[in-house]
Amino acid sequence: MSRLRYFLRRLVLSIPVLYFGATLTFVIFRFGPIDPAAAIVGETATEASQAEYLRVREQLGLEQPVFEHYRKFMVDFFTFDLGQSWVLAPGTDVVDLLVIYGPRTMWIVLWAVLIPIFVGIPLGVYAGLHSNTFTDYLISMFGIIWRAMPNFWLAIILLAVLSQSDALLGFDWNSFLADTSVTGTPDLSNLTSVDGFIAATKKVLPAAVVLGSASMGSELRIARTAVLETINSSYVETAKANGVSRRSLVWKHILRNALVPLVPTITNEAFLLIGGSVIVEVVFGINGLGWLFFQSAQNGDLPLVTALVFVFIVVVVLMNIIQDLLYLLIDPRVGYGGR
Amino acid sequence: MSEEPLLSVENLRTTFTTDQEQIRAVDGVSFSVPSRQTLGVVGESGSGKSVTARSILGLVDAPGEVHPDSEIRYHDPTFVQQIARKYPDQVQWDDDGDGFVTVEAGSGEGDSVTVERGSVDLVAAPDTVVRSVRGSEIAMVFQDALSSLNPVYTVGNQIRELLGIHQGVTGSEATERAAELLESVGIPDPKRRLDEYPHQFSGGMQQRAVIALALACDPSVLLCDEPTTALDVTIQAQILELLERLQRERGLSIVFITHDMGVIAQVADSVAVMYAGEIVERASVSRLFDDPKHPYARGLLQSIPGLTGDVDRLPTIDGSVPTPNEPATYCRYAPRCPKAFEECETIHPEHVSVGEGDHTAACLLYPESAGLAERLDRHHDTEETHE
Repeated sequence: MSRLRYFLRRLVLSIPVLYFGATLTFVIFRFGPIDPAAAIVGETATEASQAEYLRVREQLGLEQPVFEHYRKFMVDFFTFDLGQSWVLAPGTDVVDLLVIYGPRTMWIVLWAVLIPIFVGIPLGVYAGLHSNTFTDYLISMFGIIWRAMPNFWLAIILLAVLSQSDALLGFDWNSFLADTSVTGTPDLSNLTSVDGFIAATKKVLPAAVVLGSASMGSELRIARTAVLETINSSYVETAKANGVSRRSLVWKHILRNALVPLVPTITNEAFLLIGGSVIVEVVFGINGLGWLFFQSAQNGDLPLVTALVFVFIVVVVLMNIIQDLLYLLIDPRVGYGGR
Repeated sequence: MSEEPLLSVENLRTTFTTDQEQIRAVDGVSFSVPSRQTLGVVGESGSGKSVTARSILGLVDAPGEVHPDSEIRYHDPTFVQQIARKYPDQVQWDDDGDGFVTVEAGSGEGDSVTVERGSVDLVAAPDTVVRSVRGSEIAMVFQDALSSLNPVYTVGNQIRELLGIHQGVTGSEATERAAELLESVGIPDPKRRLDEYPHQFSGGMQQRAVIALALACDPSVLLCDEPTTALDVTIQAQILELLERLQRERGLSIVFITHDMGVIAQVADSVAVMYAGEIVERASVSRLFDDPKHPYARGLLQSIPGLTGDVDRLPTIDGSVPTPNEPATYCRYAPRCPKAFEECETIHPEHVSVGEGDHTAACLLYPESAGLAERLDRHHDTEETHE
């Protein structure tokens, strides 16, 4: 089973990546330009605050020898003991903050991944199957425009249009389908009920559309190219010459091969979404991880920042593993011939 | 060869229209393939061999187009009867009418018609008919075996798919049949091989698998487009032997496209030599090798090592095949022909008999018995009646 071995090898290889990422985070924390303790205590002019400053340094481990601090730091991270916030929400465990803020971001990112997959890719596939027709040109142009619009700009425009939807679009977005305002944090407590699901989805939809806009454009373009490439390959011609019906040609022979270049595009775009959600969450006033990250960085809450950076590293590595797994499922050639 | 043809092509013209010009990739090609025989089509790259094969199965995509006056007739009585019953209003008796099904001998009418001899014109027939021909009547084997197999499905999966389409066989029966097919094309341990992917096969095994794919639908005609070109010589010989055996066992008619005269000598019963979209000489394989008539066929044969005796330099044909982008009003081989004379530039040669059997060549040098003026006259005349 060389394919299983391939996957296990990828799994093992992700450990050094995690380790290196965590080490880099430690270096920035300990030797970076911001003194974490100073940011926490603030003024250090008085005798009392000086004592407080030293106490905080002691607690953060900054007074320990570097290697001992490093060892403790790494053990904590890898046992997922992420410490506490010191400035933004003093005394709150980072894990607790993740539980509060994480799901909101996950919810946006989920939609921001799904919208391109279910809108961009079908459009691209259609364009590829009907290449050089008017529809193809229309779809391709739409893809380029969509890809070219910057997130921050699109977010503001969408915000402006939707908050005056009555005058501009002829219907009221706020009362459309469910009662929600354009900005604010989605209520995720009711996802199992139909109304709650619709309300929560609608709430993050503008943010998700903005976040997914770039991915939608690129996934559309790549789907089109991939389909075009496959459609002209000799195995499609051979299948056709052997009497395979057009439906089976498209669904069985073309699509699965076209997925091969699409998978890395989708997963790579998904990394970007995590970073991109910072801007979008701030514009739409959604209190998610991106917002938390932004605030903690602004306030010099370094313990929280480092913990979040580590979480992001874990997420990215996980995505990579998912990508490898998808590769294995789609393309039997992957892992073949590797030692 | 007096046998009834199974597949006949009459004046096939396939053109590719671009903004600048119209490329006549295949320009008035006619040939017929008798039942259980092999027709070799030989010519340089760019002479239109592959386009001819693709045209037969309707695989020419835009901007390519098969000219509506071309005829590609498939003569299998069972198939003709089946189509005649399905499209009763398209049936014409003895070429009398404009339907795409011609019945020459048969009885009855409507959906109870029986056909003993007849043909279906695949150029005029609707797409559904052409699609029903693909695979189950006429199948094709392409040059590059690895890229002819879908990389993401097992070989067994691809064979089973075709068995399901053409013979309605599914499940474990299909697996059984697929294994038999692999065995019949000489793949050892077929049961295990079914679950392997194309990239796990060697080059020769891949080509065998592609042949098994084509045979999955039990066709009567196999179009082989340079199936051995990408293989080394020993494997090539094995594949040729395999094709010969399959032809014997299954009664296949084969159209074998290649640029390799040696391969032609081994597999073909009759040969059509193509040049720049036209057939320039037609002969049985022994006649062609013994006594080639057209200067191009001679050139091809002379450029094979070993046939010309012990010489230091092999004769070559200078230049390359021109792109035919205008109607042929001259001999397209004239610019490279060692025997060309003035009239070759202005008169398009027609096929004339140059020997026993069906040996014909399209060259102003023939018929040899006639004087120059008479020959020119003759080629000139046939051209006019042709238009």
